[in-house]
Amino acid sequence: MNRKAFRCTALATALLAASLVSAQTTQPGDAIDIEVFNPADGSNAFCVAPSGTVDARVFVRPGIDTLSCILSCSGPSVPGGSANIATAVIDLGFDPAALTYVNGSISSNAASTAVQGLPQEQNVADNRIGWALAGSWSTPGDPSSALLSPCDMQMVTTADWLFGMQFQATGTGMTTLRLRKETDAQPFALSFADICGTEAFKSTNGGIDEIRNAVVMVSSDCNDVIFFDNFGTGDFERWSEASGS
Amino acid sequence: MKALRMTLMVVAVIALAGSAMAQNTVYADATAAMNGTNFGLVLDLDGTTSNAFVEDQSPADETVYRATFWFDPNDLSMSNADKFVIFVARTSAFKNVLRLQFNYNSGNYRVRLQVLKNNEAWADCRLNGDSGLRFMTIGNEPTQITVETVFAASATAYAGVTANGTTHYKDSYQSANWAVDRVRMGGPRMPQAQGGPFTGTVYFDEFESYRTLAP
Repeated sequence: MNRKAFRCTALATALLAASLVSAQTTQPGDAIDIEVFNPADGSNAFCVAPSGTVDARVFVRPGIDTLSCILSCSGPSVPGGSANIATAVIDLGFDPAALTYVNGSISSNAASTAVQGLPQEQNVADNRIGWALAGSWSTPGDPSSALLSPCDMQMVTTADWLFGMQFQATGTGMTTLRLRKETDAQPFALSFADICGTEAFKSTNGGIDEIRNAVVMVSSDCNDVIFFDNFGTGDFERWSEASGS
Repeated sequence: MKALRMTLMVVAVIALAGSAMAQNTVYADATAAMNGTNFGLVLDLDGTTSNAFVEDQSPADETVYRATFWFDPNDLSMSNADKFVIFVARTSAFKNVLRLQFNYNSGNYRVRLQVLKNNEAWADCRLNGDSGLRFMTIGNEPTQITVETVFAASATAYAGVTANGTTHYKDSYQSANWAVDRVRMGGPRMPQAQGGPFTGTVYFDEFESYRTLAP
């Protein structure tokens, strides 16, 4: 098999794998990973025709640490640490010159409906869409029901997408769906926490070690596009290779 | 005396280590953002000759290829007639077949596109095809540059560079031997430069490529 054929086969395999398990590029580790991805191919990129729609999802991979603790509502120890996420706040910025927010959605994965966080749409006018998790509802999916006690609530324990957003392309050119964080010019406390009361997991304390944005290109030539990048992921990992990096 | 010799040796080792580490680099940074983006690519030149680039291997033996990107000379210090290649397209056999040179002349930053003919001679894209200016002035500011090519028999072969509404092009040449399999963006000696040393930074952003010519 020549190099090009091998590359095509490998790419197809990778895309197939991505679509089957939503396994993103991140790898398990003590810290939490978070990224914006395209569910159609698992990549961190979208090409969309003018007026077309973009369906983006936010993927979270919990850590693997084995911290546990004893809570007042429970005799035995309960699992905590970055592998058992109980609360979260996520905020994603978008450029209104290129994209208009349409709606948000949450994962329907029954195995992780603990992840009953809700899209936060109150800041859409400020070009932000968020998601917050504060526990599990006593009636799954019903935020008007009561919150379960910390000993009964479910937690984010598996890598999966947590919430999705649909945008309409209303401009042209390239833009970035950007996970906001503490070190931004306009900081946001992107963080996760367990139920053991340990320090929140943040990018500034190493609790989150990979944050990956997505690039969106609005173009009428998507069928003929080969590659695009605006370095909006903060690196050049979308490129095949680099020298001098 | 022995102490002095030891000191000199240590200094020499440190100097050697320092020079071994010196290299041109690329990195993504907000300072390089252009056209409303959050980040761009910085090519940081430290006066050495090492290659620094990003490479896209997505092209699959493309006989028609177009790339558009933003480029900012960022007041790079260059002497008259200095030049280096900032974009190059290569075949699957790693032969350079299309190169965009960045040049400084009489106070102006300029670019020139060259395409490789079947006879392995480089041809310049010029303002009026076979005549007219070879180099195009781009200014010391963010500029969107489009390079495109058709590798084919003489009747349809084409290469062109467009910036600020001006196109320099070449046609009527044999180039069917070539196809684009990978491209590099960066510098300063990938694969060719003249003059230098180059010290400073230039910026790239919003790269996009297609298997068609510009609409």
